[in-house]
Amino acid sequence: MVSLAAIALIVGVALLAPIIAPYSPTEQFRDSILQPPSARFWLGTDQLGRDVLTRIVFGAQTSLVIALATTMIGGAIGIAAGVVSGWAGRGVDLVVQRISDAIESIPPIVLLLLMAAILGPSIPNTILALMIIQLPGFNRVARGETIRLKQERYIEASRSVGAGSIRLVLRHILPNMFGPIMTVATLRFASVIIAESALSFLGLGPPPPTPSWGAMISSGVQYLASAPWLIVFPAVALALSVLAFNLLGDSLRDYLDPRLTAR
Amino acid sequence: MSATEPILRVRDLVKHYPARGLPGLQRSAKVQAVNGISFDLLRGTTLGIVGESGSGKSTTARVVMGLTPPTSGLVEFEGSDITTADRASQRRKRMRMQMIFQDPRGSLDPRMRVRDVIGEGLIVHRLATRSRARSRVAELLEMVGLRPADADKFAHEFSGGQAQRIAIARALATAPDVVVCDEAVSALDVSVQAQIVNLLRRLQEDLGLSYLFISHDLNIVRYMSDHLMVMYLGQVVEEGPSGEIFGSPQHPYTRALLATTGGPTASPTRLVGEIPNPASPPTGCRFHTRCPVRIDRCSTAEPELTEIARGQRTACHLVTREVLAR
Amino acid sequence: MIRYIGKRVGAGAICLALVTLFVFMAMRLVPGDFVTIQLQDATGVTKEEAEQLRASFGLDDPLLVQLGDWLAGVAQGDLGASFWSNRPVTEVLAERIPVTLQVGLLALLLAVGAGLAFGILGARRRGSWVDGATRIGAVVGLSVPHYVTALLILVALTNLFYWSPPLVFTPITENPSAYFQQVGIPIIALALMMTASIARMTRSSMLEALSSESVRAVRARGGTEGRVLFVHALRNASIPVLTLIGLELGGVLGGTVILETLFNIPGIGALTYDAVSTRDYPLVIVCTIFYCIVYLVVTLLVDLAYAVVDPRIRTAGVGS
Repeated sequence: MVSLAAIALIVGVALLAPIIAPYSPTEQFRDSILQPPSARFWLGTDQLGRDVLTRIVFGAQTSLVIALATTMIGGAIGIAAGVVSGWAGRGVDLVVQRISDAIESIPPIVLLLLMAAILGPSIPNTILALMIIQLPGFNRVARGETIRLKQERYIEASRSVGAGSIRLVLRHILPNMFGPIMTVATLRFASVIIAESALSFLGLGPPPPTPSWGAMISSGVQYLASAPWLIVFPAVALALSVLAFNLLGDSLRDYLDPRLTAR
Repeated sequence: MSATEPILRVRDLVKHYPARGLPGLQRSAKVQAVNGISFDLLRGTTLGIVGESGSGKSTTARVVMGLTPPTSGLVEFEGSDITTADRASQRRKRMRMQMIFQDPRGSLDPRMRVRDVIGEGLIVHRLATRSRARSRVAELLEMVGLRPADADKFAHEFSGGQAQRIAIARALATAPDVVVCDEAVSALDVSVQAQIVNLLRRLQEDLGLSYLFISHDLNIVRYMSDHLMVMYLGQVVEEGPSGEIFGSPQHPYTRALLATTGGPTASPTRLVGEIPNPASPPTGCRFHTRCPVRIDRCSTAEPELTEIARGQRTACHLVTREVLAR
Repeated sequence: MIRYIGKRVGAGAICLALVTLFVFMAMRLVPGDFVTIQLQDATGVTKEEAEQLRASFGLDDPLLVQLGDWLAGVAQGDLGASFWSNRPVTEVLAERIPVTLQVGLLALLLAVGAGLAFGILGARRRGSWVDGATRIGAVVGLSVPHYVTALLILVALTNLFYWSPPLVFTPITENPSAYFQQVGIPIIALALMMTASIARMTRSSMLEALSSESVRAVRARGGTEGRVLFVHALRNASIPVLTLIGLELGGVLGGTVILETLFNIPGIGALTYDAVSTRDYPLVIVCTIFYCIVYLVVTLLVDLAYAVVDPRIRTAGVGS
């Protein structure tokens, strides 16, 4: 599938950044400020003379690392909350769902603004802020799946053999929701990349000089007319990465769907 | 424990559910799934439980198994009450009662390998180490007519009949004394039904198992069971040795049920209508709304189980009156 | 039905309460409050004067007191006054809300219109290049964040046509041309993501509905192509579209924040951004609550519309 190849490419680029990037992301070439793409600087340079290509490549690293950490931690917490909520029902469910609704009802940007304002720009804080936004999504899927799976006959059968709640949840419920969780995780991954770029765009994400696509776009706004490549290239990189993960998520969803109904 | 004492005693078992979300009912209405039944299960025998859906047979099975607590009543296993015992002894007792379900494929986790499915009981009750479990699983597979090599496969790779064999193996893993078969063969092809029923009988002989055999299929019940209990809307309407009941059914409901099987006692009485709502059962004798021979008393007073022949008891005003008249 | 609405309103109220609490605590935890930020570069202001200033805003009161004061004010219809401009919050809101609502509604109309159109087109001419292009366009549209789309469009227009949008806001009633020039790009950017989702959903719904039994029956009875499409298939397709609107809403609302700030449109979004940056608590709280209310109301309306459009849900009993 095309998307897998694209993702492999992106991941590869991010991992190999130090090797394949022509220059260092913080190296400033004072004599080549705001240069359009050329043989020496394939994607041009920015207002401090830094190579755009290098910064994009390292930006991939930043975005992927943040997205991975966010999705994994946020996913773990969100899924745990969803499973507990769906399994226990009643009071616990009510409380968890209210909190989840509250998080969801604030537009992500506003929430990110608030959190970034409280916590201050740094990478761990960015991950924390982004993570909170991911929680309702994972919670919803995990809860829905738990409620659905709770009704399955084999859960009752295992219980009659003597399995307790913990074993039922860990050995029977969680493994059987693997597919939908993977789909959600992939799509969430894409939206985290977007959200992180929005944060850095507003100057609230990882602090400089860490390269981040959103920050690059933001600083390029001033040179909209004179040096459009400062905006265009990071934007394209951003769009392509998100596109790749969206496509992957879509394929996963399509792949899993007929299999589910065929069983 | 003497051989004549029942391995399982149930007295005045009641299970009510709160009626939620059903149209046309008040909030406080309750679904009276099981309304005061009592029975004994003797060691090494099979007690068949028959009735239409909604009669409460599956609920009875679940309460006996401990999957849901009774609203009131007594469930005694080997002489001790398991509904009021502490957690630890409850677990020990329940380990010796296992269950087989109606949907063979559905009762097996599709993501688990057969050996894990069968071995789950062993692990949960810590009866065996890994290696010991493996050999036990192989033993069980052979016992139910499968090959030890099947242990590595996934549950969904098997047909309905084979899946039910796996379920049986799982039930036998903890060496239970009582096995509850809840419509265990109803979802299988007719040809496969016979195989599984015979397997169950053979296992009963070899292992000394006692069965609670729940079914709506009277032919199979007749073949399998030593004693029979006919349920209607959560109550027992007739019970006794199955040979006697099939030979001369007394209760109008039993007679109507047997009529559908076309057996030697097929009477012209047909069952009309549908089973009433368990949340608002009829007054008096619950069957009176569909009974072809009801008398006035039937709508006002609940009949009690009365012995009308050796070991056979029936809950019907008409029958009781006839018996008393003799 | 009434009970269901009641339940939802109750749940929504709890939601709002949680959010309010969160915002209050958030603003309290922020390093530096309104006064400190404003006086950051001001020399010659003594500590006492700064403290006095803070007291005048009530910033030195404990959290619960501030919360209590604010709630008391709300009960009387007074939402406080902006620290910055000292104008009553209600006044500021009254100015800003209509602007954002206009932009939002226009974006929504565009998105639904274009989305449905592309979806129907794609379903109708399945497998053609139009369909393929639409589907690719949809996936791409979903992948590009609002502000990036807006900026890319801006870059293209600026560099190719040497045009830039006006930066001073004129209401639509005064000068429609200037209004749309300023607001056009944000609207398109906001609409794009929704259009993509709607187009995809419409297309697959329509394909499903078009091949379904009921439609075949109508066709067999001799219904013309047009009627078949619009009456039956569209109704089936509208259900998922409604859900989509509810789902996308959060992102769209967020998009207004950045886009308004970028394009200098005086709406709630820009207000929120400014308020957070300057730690203007009264405004921050009310803006956040405003967004929450919009979200809750829209999702409630969507769910109700759902029940109306799909009678199966209604009879099964709404709410669980």
